[in-house]
Amino acid sequence: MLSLMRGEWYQARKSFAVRLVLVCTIIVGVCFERMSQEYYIANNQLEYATVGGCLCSMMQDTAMCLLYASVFAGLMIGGAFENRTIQSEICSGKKRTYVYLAKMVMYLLVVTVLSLAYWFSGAVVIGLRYGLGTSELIGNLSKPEYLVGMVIACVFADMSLSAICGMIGFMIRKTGVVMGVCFALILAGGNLLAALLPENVSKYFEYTPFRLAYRVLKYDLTWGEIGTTCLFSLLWIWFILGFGIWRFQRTELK
Amino acid sequence: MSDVIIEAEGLTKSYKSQTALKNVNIKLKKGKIYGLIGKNGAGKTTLMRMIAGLGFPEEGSLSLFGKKTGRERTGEKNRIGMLIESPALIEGMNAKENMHWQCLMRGYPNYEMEEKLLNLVGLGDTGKKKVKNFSLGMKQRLGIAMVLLGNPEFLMLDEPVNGLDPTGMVEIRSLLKRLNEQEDKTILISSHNLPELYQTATDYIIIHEGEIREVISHEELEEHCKSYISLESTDTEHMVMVLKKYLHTENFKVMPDYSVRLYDLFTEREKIGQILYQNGVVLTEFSIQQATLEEYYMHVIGGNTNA
Repeated sequence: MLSLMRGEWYQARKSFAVRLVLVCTIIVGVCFERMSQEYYIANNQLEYATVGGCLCSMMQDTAMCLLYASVFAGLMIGGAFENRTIQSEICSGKKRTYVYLAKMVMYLLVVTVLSLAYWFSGAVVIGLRYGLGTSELIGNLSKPEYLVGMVIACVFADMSLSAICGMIGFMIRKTGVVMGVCFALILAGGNLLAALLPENVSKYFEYTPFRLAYRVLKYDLTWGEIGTTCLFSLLWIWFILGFGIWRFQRTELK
Repeated sequence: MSDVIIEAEGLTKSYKSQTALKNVNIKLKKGKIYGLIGKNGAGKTTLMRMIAGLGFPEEGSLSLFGKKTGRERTGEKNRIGMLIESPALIEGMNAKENMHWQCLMRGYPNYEMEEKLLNLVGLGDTGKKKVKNFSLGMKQRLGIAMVLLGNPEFLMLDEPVNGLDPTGMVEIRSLLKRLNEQEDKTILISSHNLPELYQTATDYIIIHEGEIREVISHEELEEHCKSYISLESTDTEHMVMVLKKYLHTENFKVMPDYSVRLYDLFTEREKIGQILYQNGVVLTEFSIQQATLEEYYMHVIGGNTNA
């Protein structure tokens, strides 16, 4: 497992796509946030001129996280089947479970790093300019411990969504198709499900990977919400990885 | 210790309605170079994929180095170097980086070995050139270098000379022979290039429609690919009649191109020419030839050409 992880890390480190997207993310994040700030301050929406408010608004952009998850599920997982590196790992005597886990862990790490870069690229600039803000303005998000809790919960929640993309990558195994299916299916499917489900069922929808992140994206955040979001996210990740491994062990590879 | 590296018993596999492998029984013994011969869709790659653990048989058992269960077999796979279909290459990296990734993944990074193997396959001077800019032959060479990492005892190569130029083919052939003779490596090569295989393999496995039709050694093949006298005439029917009536032989075959292959009377070549001439047969071809592996293969699978 350790050697597989080292191999995955080496691949990620050498990947031009990862470096390019990381740099673009930081540039886009800073520019986007600067433009937004000017608008919010002009409209007296001062809560956005705080680290918590800025992070909250950036994290609500889950489509961005889904975009990273889809693109890298295609590049890192679909691409690995196409260039036969996964097959090579299996041929060299590595257990399928470890191959799956190593690939998924590195994939989730890359997507998380990119998401964090996106969230913090703007928040750091805001933090340096305006500080954390007051509790009257943004409630608990003025306190560093709640900010950390929100970010951790959101990272886990986004990981659970990305894990679905990763699993799709292992099922479809074609770069372009994986990207398209992950983005279109999850984005459209998630919204469609939320709209179509009856009210008594849809209240549980917030406990699915599609909506988990939104549970912690609010100013009056509580430790209970942070805890349950982390717990449900980890349960989903565990379930998705487990199902993915079970399926991958039975998959015929070309 | 047993000298059997791979043993398959009753391996069967089908895809939807098509049977890819039918009750395959083979034993690959240490120290040999096996040539796996079969046309497209015969089951060569399916068999290799089963051995590699990429596919699963529906029936039958498979043992690697005497280990039968899936978990035990996985442990033994680091003693095998496999190149199936196409090499596992990361296009955005150069040759050295690909070798290094493979070493890290396998758990034995060794820069010295990486350099040595790259030089061995003639890619030591590719520098920072990315694999995506490599020719097919260069990719194939790099694939072979990667297969040799970790000094495996058994090499399984699917079309290893695919895309190589004639010089490259000769180099890879001599490399494989050297590995077999000097380092006692067992090799299984699948190839459509039968003349190339004929110069490399010590044993041949002929697979057709998912069935192993024959396993034959190079010596036995040479015995089967016996010499014959090739006769061509303007009137094949008349020549056949003369062969039967005046030379008292039926040990010949009429080929689809109307030439005749005569398998005896080698010591009476002058007599053959004389009798045919006396009976009005005008010969346009009279030569001694030998059947090739290709012809023998066609004969075994019941194709048009007969050995």
